[in-house]
Amino acid sequence: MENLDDFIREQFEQDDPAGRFPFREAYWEQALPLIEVAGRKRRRALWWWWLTGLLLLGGGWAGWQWSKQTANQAENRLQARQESSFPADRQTPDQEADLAREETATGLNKPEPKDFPAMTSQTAAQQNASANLPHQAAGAPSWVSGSSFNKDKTTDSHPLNQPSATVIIPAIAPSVPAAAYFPGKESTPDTTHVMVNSVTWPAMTELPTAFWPLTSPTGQFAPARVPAKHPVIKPLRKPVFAFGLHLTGTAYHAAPQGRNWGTTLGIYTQYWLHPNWSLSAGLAWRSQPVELSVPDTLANVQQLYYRFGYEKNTFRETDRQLQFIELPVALHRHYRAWQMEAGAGYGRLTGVRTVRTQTYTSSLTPTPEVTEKRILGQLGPYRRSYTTFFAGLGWQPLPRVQLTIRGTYRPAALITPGNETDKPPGALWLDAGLRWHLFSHDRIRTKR
Amino acid sequence: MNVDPLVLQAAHRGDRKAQYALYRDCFPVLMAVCVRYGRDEQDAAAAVNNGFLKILQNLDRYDPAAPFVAWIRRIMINVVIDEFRREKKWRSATVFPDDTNPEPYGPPLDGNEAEQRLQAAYLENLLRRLPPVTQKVFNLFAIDGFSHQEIGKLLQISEGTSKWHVHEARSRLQGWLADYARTGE
Repeated sequence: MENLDDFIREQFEQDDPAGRFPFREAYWEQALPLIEVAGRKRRRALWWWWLTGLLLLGGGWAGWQWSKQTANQAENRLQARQESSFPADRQTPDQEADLAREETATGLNKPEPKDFPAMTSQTAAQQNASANLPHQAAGAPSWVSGSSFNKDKTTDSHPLNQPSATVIIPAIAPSVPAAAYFPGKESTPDTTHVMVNSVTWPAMTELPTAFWPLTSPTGQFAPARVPAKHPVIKPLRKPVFAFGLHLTGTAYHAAPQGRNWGTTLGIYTQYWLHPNWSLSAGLAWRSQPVELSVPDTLANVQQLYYRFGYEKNTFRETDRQLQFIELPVALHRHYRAWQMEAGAGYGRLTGVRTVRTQTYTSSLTPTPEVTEKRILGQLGPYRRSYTTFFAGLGWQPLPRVQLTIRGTYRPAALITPGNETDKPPGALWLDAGLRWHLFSHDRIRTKR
Repeated sequence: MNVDPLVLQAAHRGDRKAQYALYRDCFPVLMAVCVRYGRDEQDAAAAVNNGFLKILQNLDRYDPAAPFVAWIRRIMINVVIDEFRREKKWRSATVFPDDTNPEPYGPPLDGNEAEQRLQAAYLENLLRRLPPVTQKVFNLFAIDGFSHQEIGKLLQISEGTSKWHVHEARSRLQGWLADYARTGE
């Protein structure tokens, strides 16, 4: 038996294939498009690598800048509060901590200095200066923004509502002339001085915002209250843990003609490490269109010859859809109703939907009869598992609903070597859809 | 077959002229492998193109210390076997009347072919009369020097099955060769 093997091997080794299979230009012309397509695919893949890298770098830089800016703002706010001359704003670190505990316990927000626009350190200093004016010593009212305003002063019994009262209308800016109004009399505006109880004082260069309602052009004094625009104090509820469903439509960048779409359906859990950071993990089912056929060979044809005719069945199987189970893990950065996410996923091929096309012809029915049947295909030509990397954005218009968009890249080719096709499954895709929080465990968080 | 290393480098860079020259040189060797593994000429040409594409894409991995012909032959065998596995996927879902009957898998030898001497072409015809799996296994084992273990991995069959196929191929080939020696057909 071994001699037979040696004999056959020798025959082939001595063979000169160039004589039996001469080169023809036609073969090269068939090969040329394949080579060109492969080159294009290679260049395109390179381009996508670059783009993905640039996007990731850009996203990372933007996130870093944003975090830095947010941190600076928080620091400035804290510094302004500590430097403020307004006692309620001056907090030592211990007092800050006490206040935070108190707020957490009550679930209430403490209004921040920015909620009172006039309460900057500069205006506070000016208010201090105005508080020391002699008219205060003379019993004249002194209202400064942000100070505790005695509402009783707004009643008719208040001295300022008496006909003899004089109201200060200081010069604020060149465009706003300073004037002193004397109720019941004609008065000539004096842009440099004001008069209170028959005493003239230099005009203030800046007026706290709380004074604005006092500048009644009618001359009738109407004591104003503290500005009505006051922050609504309510607790912020932030989830600690959430569980839900997500459903997305997927657009694949490379797919068979007219079938760029797929779907993803899954469940996820999300855990907040910090009010602005969370981790999520999920389990999803994904479908992806594909077009891969077994080449036509003699093995795909059943032909029966009879004395009087023939019957011929040609079968062709085309894989149309791949189905995967994916396990994505992502890190989320939250900002108000927005969130950015980035992460990686592991995918496992679980099924192939295949269409078997049977073409029947016979001597009696020369017109081909074509029938199609959907069957479960085999996983043979495809990679069984893969890794993906993704980044996305989310927006939460409702407490339990979030709209998401996510770009994903799969570095590995889905089709195993030796099974190349002109229409390989796309390595890049875009998921757009919604997440629905079925359950979430919240905690009250006060805004700091 | 001697291939200039400069041609290989240029072909890998994408130089069309170099690729053309390389294709012209490789074509007979690749075609012989495809035909021996049971392809008709049209199928074989398509497989050769796929194999050549793979060769181009992997030229950077070629070690000049090894013979170039052996390297491209090995790549071509891999391509043919991969295609066969894909076809096998389909065949497993479709029942064929008789896997042991050699007739459906290769054209019967006509008188002219029978008059040929025992050359490679005639042996190719005999091999193509074998059932597909038996043919692949025998080619891999007896001619291309693969072990049963390697064949088992390539074709996703057990070593025992591989041995059985080799035995079956030998029996059939011996019978056909004996017939040829006796009758000249």
